Amino acid sequence: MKISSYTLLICLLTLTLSSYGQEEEEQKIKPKRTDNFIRMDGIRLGVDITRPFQSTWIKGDRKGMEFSAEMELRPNIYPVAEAGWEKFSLDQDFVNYNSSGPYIRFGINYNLLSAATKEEKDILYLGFRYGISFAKQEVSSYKIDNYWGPITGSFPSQNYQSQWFELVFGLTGEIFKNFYLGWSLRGKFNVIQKDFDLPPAFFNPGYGKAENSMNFDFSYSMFYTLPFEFGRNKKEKKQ
Amino acid sequence: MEKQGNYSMRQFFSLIMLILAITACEETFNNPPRSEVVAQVEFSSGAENPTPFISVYGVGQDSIWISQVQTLEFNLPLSSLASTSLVVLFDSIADTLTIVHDNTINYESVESGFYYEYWIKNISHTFNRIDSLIVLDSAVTQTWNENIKLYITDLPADTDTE
Repeated sequence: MKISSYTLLICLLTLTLSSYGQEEEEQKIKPKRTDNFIRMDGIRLGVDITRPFQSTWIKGDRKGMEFSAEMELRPNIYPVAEAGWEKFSLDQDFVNYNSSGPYIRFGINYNLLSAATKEEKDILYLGFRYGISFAKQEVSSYKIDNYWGPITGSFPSQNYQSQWFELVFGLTGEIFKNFYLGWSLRGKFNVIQKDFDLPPAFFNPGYGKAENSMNFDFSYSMFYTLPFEFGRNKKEKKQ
Repeated sequence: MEKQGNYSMRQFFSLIMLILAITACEETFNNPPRSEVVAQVEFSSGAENPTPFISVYGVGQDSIWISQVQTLEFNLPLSSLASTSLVVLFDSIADTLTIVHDNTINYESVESGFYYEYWIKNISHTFNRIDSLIVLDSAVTQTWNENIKLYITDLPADTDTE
């Protein structure tokens, strides 16, 4: 899993740095941004289509759903809210483990791509998120093989909370009017983790393995922009 | 810029599909670790003797733990109860070891599960072949190390070891 994570990271960085590199050269010529206008009027709503299929690349049964909302509050600055729910379960010979719960993230994206006109709505961004999850875990059964006979037992459900922050790098492109596709790479850093002696918290919804101080993740989302204009934009139009 | 963005996303999507195809494999899980008492054997006379054939089974158990293994070191399984009684045969001469212990359940991982570790509080034994014993390390953990040393008497000359 680690190997595939690093492979993914390297490949995606290679893919995107080429376009970013070109942009950087342009910025050297034009150090000051000229696209000081809001290009996305309205609120962009999104759904992460990778969340239901995480079991494909993660050990155990992990699935969930995630929705997002963002708007361009200032030119190239997009406050973002993401909310979701995830469950993780592992049912094997020795342990039957279940964890689930909701999570929410708040943060901001900063667009790196300059645009000549408002029609150029693609963004390449760096972002920051702060996430909070509320989870419940349970070891409904465990088994320890022993010469004297298997030892079985269970642990009651435990409620816990965790908090983390994320550094995000991504791209969102308009496929056709108001419809977007976008991906992001995320480095997640655990900040606060409520834990237990036995069994320790294993899975944080929205974050991943609780025992890791850092997790990598990626998302691939579909978006639709609810097209309405804000007061400030109307003023801009009048000008 | 729009074309470039769409092109990158197409590349990315293809890459994801490729990685998923590569990483989609059967899940495997490791067994949880085991904590066992490691026993060493030494002849109390200090004389050179042939290495004994050792068999071990638990009192009340149908299955044999070790069967006629010629060795000077072997492991003993402890139960989840407060004491464990085992019959140890040195060259077919049986002794009973009773180990009184504390048990602690430990977590290895969600993938491997749980396991027990033990703390030896007391050991008693019969004196057919075992002359005496000492506890070298009371902690019986998943990292096996010598816990007890059994001093046994020399094999009587007329004993059939087969």
